Amino acid sequence: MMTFIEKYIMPYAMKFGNNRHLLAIRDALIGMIAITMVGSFAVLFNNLGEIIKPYGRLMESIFGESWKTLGGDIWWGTFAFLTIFAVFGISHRLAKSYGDDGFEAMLVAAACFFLLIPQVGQVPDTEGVWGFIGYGYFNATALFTGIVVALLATELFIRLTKVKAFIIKLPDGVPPAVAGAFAKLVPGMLTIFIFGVAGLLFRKMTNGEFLNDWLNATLVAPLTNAADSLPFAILIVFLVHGFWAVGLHGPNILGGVTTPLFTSLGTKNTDLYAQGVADLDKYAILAGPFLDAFVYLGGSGATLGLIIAMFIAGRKRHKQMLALGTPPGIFQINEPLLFGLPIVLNPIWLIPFISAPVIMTVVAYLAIKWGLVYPVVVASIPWVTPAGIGGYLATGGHISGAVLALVNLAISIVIYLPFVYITGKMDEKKLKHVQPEQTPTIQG
Amino acid sequence: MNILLCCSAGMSTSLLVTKMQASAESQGIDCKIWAVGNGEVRNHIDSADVLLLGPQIRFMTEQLKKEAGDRIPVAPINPMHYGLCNGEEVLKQAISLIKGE
Repeated sequence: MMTFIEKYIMPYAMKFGNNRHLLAIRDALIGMIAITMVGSFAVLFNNLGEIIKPYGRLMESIFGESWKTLGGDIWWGTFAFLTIFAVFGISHRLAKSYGDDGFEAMLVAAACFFLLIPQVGQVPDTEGVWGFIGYGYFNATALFTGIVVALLATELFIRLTKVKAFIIKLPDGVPPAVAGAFAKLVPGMLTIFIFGVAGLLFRKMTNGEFLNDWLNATLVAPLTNAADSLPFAILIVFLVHGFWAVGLHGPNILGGVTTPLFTSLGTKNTDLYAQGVADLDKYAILAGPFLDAFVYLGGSGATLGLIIAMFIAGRKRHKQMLALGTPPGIFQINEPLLFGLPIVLNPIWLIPFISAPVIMTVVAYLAIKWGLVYPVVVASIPWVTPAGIGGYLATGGHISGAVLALVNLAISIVIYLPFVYITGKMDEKKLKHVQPEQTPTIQG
Repeated sequence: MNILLCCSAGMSTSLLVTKMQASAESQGIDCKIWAVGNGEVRNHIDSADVLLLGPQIRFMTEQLKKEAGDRIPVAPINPMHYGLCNGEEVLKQAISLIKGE
């Protein structure tokens, strides 16, 4: 079994989990958590008044009519420019993975992204005004465009810095910092120039359509639509737990694909929420912290349910495991349980470990789709947020979110319980078999 | 001795750090043990004498070996010791790796 995994699964996990582009995207987006979180909570605090009326009245009485200004400003500084941060972060991370220091690459990639944006803003009642840009070119709507441009520009830049002919040699007396900047002068200029020409040619060929607009239309809409579907949700959850089944960190390996999709859908929802859109059908379902809030209760495999099932049916047998696994388990950290019980590579435990989260995903997805539960309107919450609280916060302070998390927790307990019982019976049997042989050694 | 642990976010390995430190103290071994996520492990490799990986990210072993060069040993932690937070055993592994055993 082990050799099978090392031979057939590890190479794929390695390829996928170590792909420098996916890693750069994932790490950049994770690095932006301070931005997405403060933005999410600013929107949350501003809109909570709609649900909890006394809260709104209280805030108004303390801070006056304009109490929402601060939250609005924070939203503007974070979510309205989300793609900019992503472009900077991704190109920095990607350049670093090539051993470059990443600073010039980051600035050049940003320049390439900006030069592909239309210079004439669409303003109502006019033919368009030169020098204005709608924030739709910078917020989560443009995220995938930003990712593509950042990756391409950085690749090009890094390749050009490796061409010896482009390196300007300065005399020996020049400080290294100055020489370093000059070494990347030509590659930087060339990258920006090539993107400029490419953007211009694209407009010539398509009768004035901008590359960013085109990428947005051809890439973003189909990608995010496909991502926000029940089959995709089940597929992702199944794959994540398939990797964990052989002891590999599934969310980490797939993060390069899932993080940009969930972030994009999550920020889309936050934007809708900030605008006060009441039509819940417009919101994405598999958005932001959906999986952390409703499925990974206690960590991958919904192992909080297992811990509770052990407390119910196997308290004596699993005393050590419960002592070790419960405190981190409350904060969604479950490696002690996965490797200690162990669940990894254990065919019996793997049945509930994979089926529970898949069933919980279906329940959570349908509950939101049918309007029983408020959609996720927060782009990110820390994944260590305990079960229930996560559901409450993710839905923008709706009790229905907490209830869904608790219903899912109950489902996971029910699924794990028989397996706690079965493994208990099996251990008892084994013990009876082994005991006669072992007794002498214990006495001796 | 500087022992660096790495997992996905540096959370579960930090549970192990506490146990390893306790074990080191009781044996009178002077060492620094800390845990980081795989996103920032590169910035810490230079100050470590050994890098141990959580078994769940052992697919990164080869890549991190490359990053560390030949300077320090890089190895995944035994899953059983990891799961049971067996600080003593993992400390033993770290020390024997540093000694090149």
